[in-house]
Amino acid sequence: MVSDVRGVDSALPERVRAELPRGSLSQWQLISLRFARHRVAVASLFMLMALYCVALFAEFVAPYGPYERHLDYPYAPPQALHFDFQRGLHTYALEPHVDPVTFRKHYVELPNEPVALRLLRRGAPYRLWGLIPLERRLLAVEGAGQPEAAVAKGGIAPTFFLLGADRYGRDVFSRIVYGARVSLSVGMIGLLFTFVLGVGIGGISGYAGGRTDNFIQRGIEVVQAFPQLPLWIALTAFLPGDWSALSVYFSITLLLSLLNWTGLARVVRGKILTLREEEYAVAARLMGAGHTRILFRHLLPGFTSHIIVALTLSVPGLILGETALSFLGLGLRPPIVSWGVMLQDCLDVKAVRFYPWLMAPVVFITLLVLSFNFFGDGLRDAADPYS
Amino acid sequence: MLPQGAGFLKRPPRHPWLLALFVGLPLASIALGLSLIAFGALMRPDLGQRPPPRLAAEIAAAEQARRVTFDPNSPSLPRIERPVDRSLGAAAPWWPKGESPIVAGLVREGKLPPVAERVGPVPLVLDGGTIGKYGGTFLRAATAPWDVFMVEFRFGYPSLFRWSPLGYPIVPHLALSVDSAPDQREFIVHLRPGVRWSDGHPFGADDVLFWWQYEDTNKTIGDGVPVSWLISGTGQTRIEKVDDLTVRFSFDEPFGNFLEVLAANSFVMARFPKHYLERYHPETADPAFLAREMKAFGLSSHLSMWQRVQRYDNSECPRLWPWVPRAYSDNAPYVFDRNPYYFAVDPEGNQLPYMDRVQFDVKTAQMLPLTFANGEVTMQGRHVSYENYTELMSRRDEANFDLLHWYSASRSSWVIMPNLNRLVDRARPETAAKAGLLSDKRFRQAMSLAIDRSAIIKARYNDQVRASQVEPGPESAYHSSKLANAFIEHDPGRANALLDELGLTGRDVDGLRTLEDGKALTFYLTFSSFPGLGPAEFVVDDWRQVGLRVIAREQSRTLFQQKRESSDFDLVIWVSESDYFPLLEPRSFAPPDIEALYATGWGRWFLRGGYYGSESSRAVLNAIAPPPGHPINASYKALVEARQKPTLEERVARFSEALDIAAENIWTINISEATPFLVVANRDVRNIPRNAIYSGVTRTPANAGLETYYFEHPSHAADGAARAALEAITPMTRPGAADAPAASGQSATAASGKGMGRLIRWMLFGIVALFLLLSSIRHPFVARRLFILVPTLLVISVVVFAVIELPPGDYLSSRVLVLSTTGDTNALQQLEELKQTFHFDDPIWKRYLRWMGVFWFRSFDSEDLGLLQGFMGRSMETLRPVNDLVGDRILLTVAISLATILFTWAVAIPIGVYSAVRRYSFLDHLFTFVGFLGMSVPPFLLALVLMVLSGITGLFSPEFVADPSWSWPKFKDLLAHVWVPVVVMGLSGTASLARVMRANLLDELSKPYVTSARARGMRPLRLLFKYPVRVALNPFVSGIGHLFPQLVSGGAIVGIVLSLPLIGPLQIEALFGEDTYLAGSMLMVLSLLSVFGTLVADLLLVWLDPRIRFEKGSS
Repeated sequence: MVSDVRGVDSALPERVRAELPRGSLSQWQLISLRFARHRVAVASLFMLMALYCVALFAEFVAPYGPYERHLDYPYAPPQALHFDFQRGLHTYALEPHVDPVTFRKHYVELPNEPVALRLLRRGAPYRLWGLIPLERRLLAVEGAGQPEAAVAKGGIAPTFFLLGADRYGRDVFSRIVYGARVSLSVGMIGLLFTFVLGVGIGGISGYAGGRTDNFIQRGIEVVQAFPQLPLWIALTAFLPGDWSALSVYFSITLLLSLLNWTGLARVVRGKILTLREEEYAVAARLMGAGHTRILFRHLLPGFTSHIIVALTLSVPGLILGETALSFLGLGLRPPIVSWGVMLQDCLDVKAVRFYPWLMAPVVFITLLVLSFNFFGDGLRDAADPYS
Repeated sequence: MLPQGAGFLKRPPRHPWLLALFVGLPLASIALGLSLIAFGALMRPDLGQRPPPRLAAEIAAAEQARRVTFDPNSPSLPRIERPVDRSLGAAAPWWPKGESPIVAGLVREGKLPPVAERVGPVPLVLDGGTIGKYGGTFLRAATAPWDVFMVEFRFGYPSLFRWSPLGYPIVPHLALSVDSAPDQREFIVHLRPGVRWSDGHPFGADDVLFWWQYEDTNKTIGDGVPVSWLISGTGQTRIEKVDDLTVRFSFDEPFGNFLEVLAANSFVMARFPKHYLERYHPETADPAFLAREMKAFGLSSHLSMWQRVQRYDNSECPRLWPWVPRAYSDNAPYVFDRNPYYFAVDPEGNQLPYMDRVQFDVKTAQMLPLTFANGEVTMQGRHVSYENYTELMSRRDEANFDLLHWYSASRSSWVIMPNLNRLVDRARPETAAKAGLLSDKRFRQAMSLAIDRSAIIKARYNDQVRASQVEPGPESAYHSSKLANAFIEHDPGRANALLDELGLTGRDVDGLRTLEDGKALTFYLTFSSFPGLGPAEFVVDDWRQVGLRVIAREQSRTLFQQKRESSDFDLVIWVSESDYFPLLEPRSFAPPDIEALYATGWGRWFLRGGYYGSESSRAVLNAIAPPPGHPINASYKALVEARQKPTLEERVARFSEALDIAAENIWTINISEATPFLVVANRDVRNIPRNAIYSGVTRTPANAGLETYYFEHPSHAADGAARAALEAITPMTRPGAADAPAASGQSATAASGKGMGRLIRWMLFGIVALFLLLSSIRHPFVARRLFILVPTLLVISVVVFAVIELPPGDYLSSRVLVLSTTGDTNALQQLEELKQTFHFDDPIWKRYLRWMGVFWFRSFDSEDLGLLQGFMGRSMETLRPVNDLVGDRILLTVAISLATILFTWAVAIPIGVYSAVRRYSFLDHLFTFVGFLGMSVPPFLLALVLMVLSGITGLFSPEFVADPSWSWPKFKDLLAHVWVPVVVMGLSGTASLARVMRANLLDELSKPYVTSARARGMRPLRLLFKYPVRVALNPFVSGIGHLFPQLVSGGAIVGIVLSLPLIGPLQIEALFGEDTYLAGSMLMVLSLLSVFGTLVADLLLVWLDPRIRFEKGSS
């Protein structure tokens, strides 16, 4: 893969060449140089990394468990984060009020009762990925997990809800963090399916050519003719009504990628069609290399970057698809926590009107999709460093 | 030209990415954190101040409203029916003389007889409190077309006797009085004289007898056994006509609560107008007429024809309801117009009802709360959920409605039913252990004791209700505080002791109880969309505390139905029903039928007369006789004997044994007593009772005096339509007669519903014609493009058919299952009928060919119509042709998609041009960012937010929905609504098109011809629009091809959120109802639409762009 491209320097645009160090740069170095110029794309890449890190270290990042209820704080609003040198990082305790007429929950901030927040403070022990025993969390309320503190406040333990709480007083932020595992991995696992289907079918189509190619291309056209969402919705009817959460999760992912591979297949096919007539491919064939070897050893490395671009750009569709299906109650269901499942709460119109912080998963969905879009955009520009 | 900031890249460090990672990742994380804090700050309300205190009066009013309790023994219970002195005759104040202006107009024209003649000399006098005004439309919301069936017994309620708002007293309705023999074995019912069906034909004993002979005990139609509620003990039931207005009911054994049973159920007897229905009954009908009608309706059996004509929406069938269906419609809204022959008047002799029409609109279940919160119904309790209490209470003033709190006769809306008849499957040995545990009362007692009810009541019911088991309620004569408080305390210690006693002492790795042999013990708590998960997570956690592993698991409705048939489940979440009247609805105390989910086997046994030793009960599949000596036997005995007692006191005394048994045995595990039943009522409407009992038994809201409700300021917008409906009945659509010239008076909706089928046919024929035409004039590209269409459509149809046929557990299969386990004649006939309609016994390829309509080419029989003829099959649930259900939806889907495309262009082109010309300007960056943002926000959420902020749902305001004609105000109304879906659906397409435009134009602008034109002094703006923009526009046209499927697809979910009458929402509704036939057909329509959209785009491109014509054509 790390082919020496010394001789290709002349292919670079004049101005780029002038500013680049002369010498040997691999194709991937060229791509990354080109990519680095797209600042938004770079920022998006880091944002994606940050999001995936959050999902990866959910137990560490989330202050509470995804199902931990605080019945004294139903629909608590997001609490502000304050900092001064005297008290350090802190927030103010909330005093719950219930409207005697509508039973709506109101909260009042008590500026006299700061709740100290500590970074990396020891709390209740937990196991990261169910394996590594740890005690520290990224951000914890001073005294969390100690019953004495609760008693001091008249039975109500102070809390910190960065993004508010839902109807049972579950921390929205913590749920988003745990939900990220599901929602982000839908993208990744879906990507895997998409990759296998797209490269496999596209590769066969391009390499075999002729009638097979024609047949597959018509097939792709048919798949693309289907309106995606309605077909997804219809296909959810295939899921047995009593499957376990895990099987539903995998089958939904599979369903989503079932319609998502065509873009990639087209890219792969187009590239292979042009590359297989190149001299080196012909040479390999004449030297008696097998089809598999030619395809995977010689042709595929030539456009890996394009595959990555196509894959990247197909992720937003997967993620939005999962969200839409779960939102409709046709995809993942509680007790699984995913962003789409959390948004089901917003179908209750009261969320939009009274408790808008329940829409917080949208911030993450938007950030994620936006980052994937920008990242893919930058990558597409960089994918062909010789153009 | 590297950006300045990236200067370090000139000398690449050894590990540039590692460095970037150490800088970038923390930066990104901080940015993420900051954006969350910003979101939180934006979303949080003002927390600095305490909410202003409520006025004491306001609080008092709310608390007063919440107090739904009442004294059932009070002598002054509200009563809407007024006893009157009939001897006064025409001089009496109540003598019929007033009538709706609409009807009065028709009377003047001689189209209707005068009011006194129509109402009769002995009218029902109803006093709702004040004398009302005529006019206005009673708006209701339903979740699905089938949900409207409640109009028959909850609005129509043509009962012989009728309940009052708080249940008792039972008052006369269609009957005037009943004389009972002292031994309670014979009852003589005197019918009200002068009552007429809605077509003017007199009602009398013959109609009741017709029901008895030709429906209830008829062997051609059913199994010849009377309905279960008309049977007392082992004896026979006889109904005889004494004279035209007198009917005698006689029984071999005493029937103590006969009057209550009549009030609850006798509406069934008065729904069979003999003079109309005898034309359709297989024993009395003229065979030639019947055959003709069956063919016209496309029905293949006498039974289904018989059921079709008596259905609630048959506008031809006369009724005894205040509002009757007169303008038949296949699609929502469903309208019921005033019955000019209704036999009720107010105390001043004005004919009732006051309101002219009742209109049901269909909304997605998820969107109903918004409908209520916007006050879009006139008065409705059905589907109003306590979950939305806060929202509804806060919106009262803005949306001008009152939230009434009524007394709920169903004492629990969320109850856990342990399956006492759990199926024991030898292949799964754990089922035997679970069955043993579930049927042991100590186990159920322990489960009940383990639950911390106070936490649930605090979290879900605002601390407003008391913990309680299911019991008749403190206001019921049957109240049992012993049962209410049985095992409701939170006592994990005692629960643990009971479980230990049962031998569940072993623990597994998770610290949870195991069976005696050390095997893990897992129970499944099944729930489906109704009544939902509820507080199950609390309960499951509490059970875990006492070492029980219970997993809450959702099952689809039909799948659960199948499990219910075989009793193959552990615990299920369900609701209780009308426990206030335990003798009429004993399901919580002695399983009378399979609705008692804790013992469906016993219920089936009892329903089939097993208690009386009936032979047939043993033949029934899955019927289980309770073991001798089991306490449930005593419960059944108490139920049967209590029903025979003549007075309420005796009945209460006898039945209390069953309640005591329930208190010991904990048949069901309940959390709390019922929350008040919420009713949304428009503030302009008068005479709605502040409190009433809400129950299936009392047929609420019919018991609450619907006829007397009136608007203080009635709208007369629908007067014209109401008048037209009274003048002429729109008959039911005969689907088979689709191509016959439209009959006079046929409504526009019905006509366009048929036009739909034609549309598809035209589309198909059009393609064939085009294909021939274009290939003959040698357009190889077009010809090839069309040629590809054939296999494409074929493959699509195969996929869609697979979607219809392959999923396990659809409505049809569970219906077939239920019918074949029931096994009586009626069921077998229905089964045969379904087989003929859906051919589910045929091999799959044959069904595919049939669905496609291939057989039609052989037979030319309307039975064999299929997709190729534009016939999309029938809905599994309603058996109605899909074409009728689709109605205007296709046209609206296309119209909205086109409007969205226009919107997209109108916005994307200027933005694209500007961005390209002013590249890297501030606005360009802004547009790019907003564009990407638009592509990233889930559209359904945007729709939701816009909808809540603007309050706009649907495409029309309610006053225009039912109006088939077009007018300028209606058009304006449409424009005021349509922008929401167009903007939401168009956003993502706009963003990507603007970017494409920008890129294309940039390419064009850098070309030499632009430079040369500029050099020659051409003005920039003129140049821009004359050449580069025109060239760059090309992708816009080809873009339709991609955009159209996207819009059709995106419209589905947006349509659901906004309750739009499009194809997508229908598909999802069908899917939720597991009507896969309907869902599949809708998928087919959507696929067709996107295929044709792409085709049109391609053809347009060929026409616009000569390069394609020549290049592709020649290759």
